[in-house]
Amino acid sequence: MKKLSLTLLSATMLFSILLSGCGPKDASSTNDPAPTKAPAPAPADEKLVDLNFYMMNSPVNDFDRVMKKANEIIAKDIHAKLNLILVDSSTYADKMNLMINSGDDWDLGFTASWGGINFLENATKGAYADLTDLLPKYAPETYSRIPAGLWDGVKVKDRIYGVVNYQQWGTSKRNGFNFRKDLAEESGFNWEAIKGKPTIEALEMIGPFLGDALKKHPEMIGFETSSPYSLFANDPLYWNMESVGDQTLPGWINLDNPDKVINQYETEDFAKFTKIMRDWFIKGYVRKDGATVKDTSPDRKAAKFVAEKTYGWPDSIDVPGQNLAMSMSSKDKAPAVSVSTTRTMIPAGAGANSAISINSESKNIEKSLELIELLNTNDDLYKLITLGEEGVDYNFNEKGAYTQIEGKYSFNWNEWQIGQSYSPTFNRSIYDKNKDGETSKELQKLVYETDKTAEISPVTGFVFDSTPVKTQLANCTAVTTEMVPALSSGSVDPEKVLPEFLKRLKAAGVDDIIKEKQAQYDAWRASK
Amino acid sequence: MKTITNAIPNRKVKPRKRLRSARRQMPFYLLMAPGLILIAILSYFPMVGVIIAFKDYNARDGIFGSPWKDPLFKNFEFFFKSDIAKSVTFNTLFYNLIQVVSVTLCALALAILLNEVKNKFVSATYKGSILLPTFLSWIVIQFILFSLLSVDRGIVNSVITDNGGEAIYWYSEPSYWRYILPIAYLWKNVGYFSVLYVAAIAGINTDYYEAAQLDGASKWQRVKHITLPLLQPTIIVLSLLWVGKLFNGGLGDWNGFYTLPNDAGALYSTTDVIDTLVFRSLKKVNDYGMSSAIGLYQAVVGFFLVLISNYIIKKRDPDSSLF
Amino acid sequence: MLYRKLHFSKLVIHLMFIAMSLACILPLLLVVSISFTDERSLMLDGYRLWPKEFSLNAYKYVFNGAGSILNAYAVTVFVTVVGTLLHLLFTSMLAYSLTRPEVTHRKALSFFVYLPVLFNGGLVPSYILMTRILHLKDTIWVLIVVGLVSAVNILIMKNFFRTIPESLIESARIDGSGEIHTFFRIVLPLSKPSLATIGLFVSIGYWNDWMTASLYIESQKLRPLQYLLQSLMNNIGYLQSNSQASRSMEAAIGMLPSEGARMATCVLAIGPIILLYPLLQKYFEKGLTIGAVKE
Repeated sequence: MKKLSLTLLSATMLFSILLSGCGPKDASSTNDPAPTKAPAPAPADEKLVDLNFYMMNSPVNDFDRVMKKANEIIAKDIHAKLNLILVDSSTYADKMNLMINSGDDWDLGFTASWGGINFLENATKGAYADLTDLLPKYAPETYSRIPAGLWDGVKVKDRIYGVVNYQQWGTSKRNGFNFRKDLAEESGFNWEAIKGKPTIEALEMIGPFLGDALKKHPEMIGFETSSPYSLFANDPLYWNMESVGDQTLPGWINLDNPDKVINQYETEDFAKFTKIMRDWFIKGYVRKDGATVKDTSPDRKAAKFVAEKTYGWPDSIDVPGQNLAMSMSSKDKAPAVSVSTTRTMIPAGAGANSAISINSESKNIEKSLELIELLNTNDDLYKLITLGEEGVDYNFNEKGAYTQIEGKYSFNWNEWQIGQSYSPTFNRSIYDKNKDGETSKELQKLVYETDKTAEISPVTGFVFDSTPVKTQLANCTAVTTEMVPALSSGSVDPEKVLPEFLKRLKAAGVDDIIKEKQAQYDAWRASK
Repeated sequence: MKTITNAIPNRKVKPRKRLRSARRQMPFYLLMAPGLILIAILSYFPMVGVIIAFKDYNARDGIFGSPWKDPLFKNFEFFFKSDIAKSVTFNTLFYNLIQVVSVTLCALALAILLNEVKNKFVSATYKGSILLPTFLSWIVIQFILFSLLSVDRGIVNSVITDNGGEAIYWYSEPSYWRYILPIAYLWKNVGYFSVLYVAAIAGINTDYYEAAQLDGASKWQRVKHITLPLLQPTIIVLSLLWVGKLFNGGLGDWNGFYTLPNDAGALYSTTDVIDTLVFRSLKKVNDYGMSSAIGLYQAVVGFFLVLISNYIIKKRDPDSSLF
Repeated sequence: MLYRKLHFSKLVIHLMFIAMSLACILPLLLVVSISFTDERSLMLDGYRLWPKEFSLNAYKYVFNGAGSILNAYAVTVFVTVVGTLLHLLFTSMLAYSLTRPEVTHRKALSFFVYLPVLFNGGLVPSYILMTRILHLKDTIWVLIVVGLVSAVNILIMKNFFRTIPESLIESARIDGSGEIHTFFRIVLPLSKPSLATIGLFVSIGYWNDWMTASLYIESQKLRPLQYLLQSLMNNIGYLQSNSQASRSMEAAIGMLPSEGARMATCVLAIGPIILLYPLLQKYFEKGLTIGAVKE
């Protein structure tokens, strides 16, 4: 027995030596992340507080060079070391939830209420640190410079659990449509008339234009449809509604009647919408495989769309002469005009649209807040991390347009995750050094002004606790993911399928969800 | 450790004999030690997690500290209440049975025929080619399939339309997928299993064949009376492994069902298996308890299926049984 | 007559194999072709087996682009080689012992090995084990350790070992060879084909594993090849379905590589592992040369 255990022991020891002993140089040098990348052994360095900050990003070139520069600033100002960890966006939500659920170490993390990142749920569970009292103390500027209403969006039971990343594009939302400028002129389409129209009416006006444009350009596609995105289910604002809790699940309110939680799929608008899409599908205005196609970026890059939805505002009527382009296309390949149709509102999810949370178990909550404040107030630091170094990673071409240098540091346009890109002095973002740059500054001024006075969604601050109806939610999710894409892309006949869809939702327990939402919503409103 | 517990039931064995048996076993336990220790750490330690299926899990209280669900089976409820639980269970079993039968038969046939190809270079080329799909991950296969079947840019449709036909909407019609999915799984897996069988055939003592040839047995007779019986243990082990996974989509490799049809709602009626249903139902809810509940349900069903089949095999051929 | 019949059946067999080989090779050629096709032509002409407009841009993009491919190769190759060797060693030692009649508890031990195939505790406990107990997070070892044993391979290998004639082992014993010595000197060399077979599958497993990296790897330097590939393929879908969340997201989607670049990464990711089979070929063919040994 003794001999056996002895040999076992030596075998395992041998094994562990094997594990730690050999290996190619590049691998073993990165074995333990802590001591690497800090070649300067100055005594002060030892006391630097390590802060792990998780965010979604694709791989970044020359990351170490830029981070080293950034860390020089951070070490000097707040005596900390930022360890920015880039997680692939398709696994980010799963990874963070797993880390939270297994009590792993992390200090800061990008958080949001979409894409499965579950800001509200994790905040309710106590995964994020309560920042209500710390924020004004450790990050005063971050806290005070953005519209106060936004903080309601990151509150659970009146406590703040996330730091809002206020963006250069503002938070008040107004949706509309983009049209191909050249085609609209060719067809004599009066797109200005759509301004402010309810979406059903707008779609009815767009239809004939699509038909006309497609007759002249049969290789194009009228309007984008895809399985992950439904103009109805993913965008309540188009329908003058607002979601109570997660967007695609049943349970919205109508903004003109904000007392009553309704099943959005039972509304007349949804029925009309599916009918219009069916009509467009039969007439060939949308992709025939719109219910199942996932990636539409090839179509966008090939400038195939005649019309598209847009979140961009101010539109071409508010500020004429904007040089717009269709999404993912260039201005000369696909010039666009835009018109906004919906009301302007700061949605309930706006605060938690992009925010930073701090681990409630972190030993460095205050330091983390100091880092957030530094990122938000030190414009050079923020620009260094999000854009790289001017002259090395980017420059301005002869027309004054901002140009990235190929193969160099690029943050892949993910600056919105690590701080507030907003700045009243336009000092935290890059603008073309020409007329286009001036126009975007103009537009942004307008946006900031609106944000201060914009209507705030009546649902802001409400958190739905899904525990009592989890079974129903799971089953309703199964039904909506199956049927909403087909109905929203016109590939099935709504006359037949819509009633069936509603019946299946009922069987899955949709009414329980609505009832539960209503009860919690009423209680919350009464307590306010 | 093992030797001591071993000693108790064998009390009647003389001490010296016991000692000798212990001494004879020792080297084998030494050989097994690293593997067994790794299994104990990597597989058995996390297995405590199955109790999450009965818990209202939260990270604060951990796996043991989290409160029990009330009622205890609450986490299982959503699956059995789902209106499509029956149809996805049917799909799971349907595709799994097709896969077991098609992959086994094709792989066996290919392995036996490959054995007949005497030119080494040619046979290696064949083997190498049919093994290629095994190297691909589902997401790459998805892209290949899409470039074949895409409505506007796919190769198949461009061949059809070039010949004056009407483009087929492969991604909109569920019934096509009843064929596409089994073919895809067969395509990906058949090379793997035929190479496995080829290796098993290579292990057969060539004396048998020489003796049979001397007796004037035909090729088919040699296959029937030598190759197949000697392959039987391998076939049985693989089948037993599969039986345990009958309730898991794609026999445990369910990613194809999720990836290949682009996770398209319109195709769920023929592409949804238990795992894909659970995956997308819980994506929003994000509840570890509910997902482990269904995992446990699949495991328990598989466990009983394996126990029964193993029992039957043990009766007929004790050496081939798994345990 | 007999000659012709034989010839005919051989022809049929060969034709069948040629057709099957094509069915397996052509789709891969398609991937290669797309990776060499000009992006515009891909939009307009659709996918083709032969590029209509040839372009090397995709490869330029991948080699210039972020996430160094060469570094990813180094990680993947190291993990695959070390992982496969260790896996083969542990698996064969365990599987062989489970076939030995001397081991009185071999059935119970087989059960112990098999049970985890069915029951697993899910992600959370494994994650806790790897990160908080073994402290392997963000090390190259986590990529190896996770795939180090597989019950399925142990059980398959058990079957292979059973075909080794008992007489060989017996005679070694009479010659005074210890059991461990017998295993390494006689059993293992005789099992080359099965080791090569299992080894091939294990290395495919290690080569293609991206899940482990996505869970445990955080530094860019330790990202294996398949993880890069998966990111390229999956990010678009994720960003697109959430594009209403942020206006910058559309810009982020626009930054993602084209279809051609994704296919180029595919080619680079699967290319080297495909060469493994010809490399191992000689071990497959040798087989058990025990015809000489009298039973």
